[in-house]
Amino acid sequence: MKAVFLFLTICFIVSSCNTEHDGHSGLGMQPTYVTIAQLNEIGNIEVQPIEQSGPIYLKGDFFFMTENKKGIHVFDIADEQQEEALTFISIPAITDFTIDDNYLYADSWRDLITIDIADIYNVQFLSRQKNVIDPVLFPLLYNGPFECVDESKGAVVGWEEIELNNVFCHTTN
Amino acid sequence: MFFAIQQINMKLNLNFIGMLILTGILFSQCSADELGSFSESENGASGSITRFAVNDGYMYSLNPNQIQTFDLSDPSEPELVHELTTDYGLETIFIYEGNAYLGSRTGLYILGLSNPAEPVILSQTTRGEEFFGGCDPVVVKGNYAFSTIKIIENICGTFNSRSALIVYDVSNLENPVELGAYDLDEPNGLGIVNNLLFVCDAGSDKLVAFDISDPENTQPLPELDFPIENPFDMIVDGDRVIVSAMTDFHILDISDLSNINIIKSIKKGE
Repeated sequence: MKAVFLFLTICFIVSSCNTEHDGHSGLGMQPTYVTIAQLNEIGNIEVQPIEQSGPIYLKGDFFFMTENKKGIHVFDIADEQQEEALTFISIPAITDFTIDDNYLYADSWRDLITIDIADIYNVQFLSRQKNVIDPVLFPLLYNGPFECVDESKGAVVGWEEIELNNVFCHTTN
Repeated sequence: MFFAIQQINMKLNLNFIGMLILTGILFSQCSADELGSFSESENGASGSITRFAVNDGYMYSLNPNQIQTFDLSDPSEPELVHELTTDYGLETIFIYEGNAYLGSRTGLYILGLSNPAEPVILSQTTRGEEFFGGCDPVVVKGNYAFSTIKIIENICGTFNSRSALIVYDVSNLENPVELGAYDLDEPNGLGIVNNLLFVCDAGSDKLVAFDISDPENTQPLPELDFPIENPFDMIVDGDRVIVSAMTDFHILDISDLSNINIIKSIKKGE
């Protein structure tokens, strides 16, 4: 039954979608990169605005909130007066993390990184396990053409809308 | 999600292109802002939407079709010790009483961690076709698992959705049984407060409450729904609940469930 359903769905899609076989031109998305060397720019920086939150974690009264592709906001939620974050931990290309004891583990493009957070204002980047994460290679929640990711340019940290000329990647979302 | 790329300029046969498009539709729905669950470790708690969890000296990390196990004997240098391959579509991990519950786009996986260095798949649910391709964080209490699924189909620009809370009886870890489904608008993370389950429903802009005192007879409890704009995920911590949204978060006092108060809201800033 599922096979029939899949087949019918495929037929429907193939018959109703644009099936041009040349590259796409026109408005679309282009990846923005940081270099692989820049992925090591890990550590405390000034407080950042919340623009696109991601996974969260509560450790005592410290609340950690991912800023997608940029790092982690750290707040003290016991202090009802404090509006601003205590600090921001820069982790380029991050999408998710967890914490165990005084260690924070996060993705960093294709790698897993470990940070000592015993002193939240002076975190220490400890190690990098290479090639254990499968990163997303297309723009999320977007439907249309995009410039294919070129990993020789580094790690993708965002997408911007731009006039494209003959690109060969396309999402359906 | 990772199959969403169509290499359209290649000499692919139409079926293969169709398959790519289809998998693109099915696998590109869940964005980073939908990744996760509520896993408690000794000293903290994550939201329901995460791909990482630590338990008993090991960390588990999800790739779309793989569970990786890292030995944390030296916590400063995790060591990859095991890889377990699954169907494509893993999204969230929640550890409860020695087992890992994975939300996947094809259903719910339950992993046994009796040997924490080598997780084994105890069961994998299959899902009705109307839910195929959903995105689902999961939380567990006692013999019951609660999972939200969100489906945004996008077939050539036309959006349809069937999103719901699914309740499973997991008393037999090797044979979870779906007990019921409750329609929701656009559910994200979820959390349990005693006999209540709250679901972050971004579609209806509220925490939607369910009475789970008798999980086999889970009931919506609309009088306890709590309005919050575009909620994404939550962490329950005693009498307080933290609810995150895209550009802000809120701390709620839930000591009196019929009178939930926002203690504090942090906005985008600037």
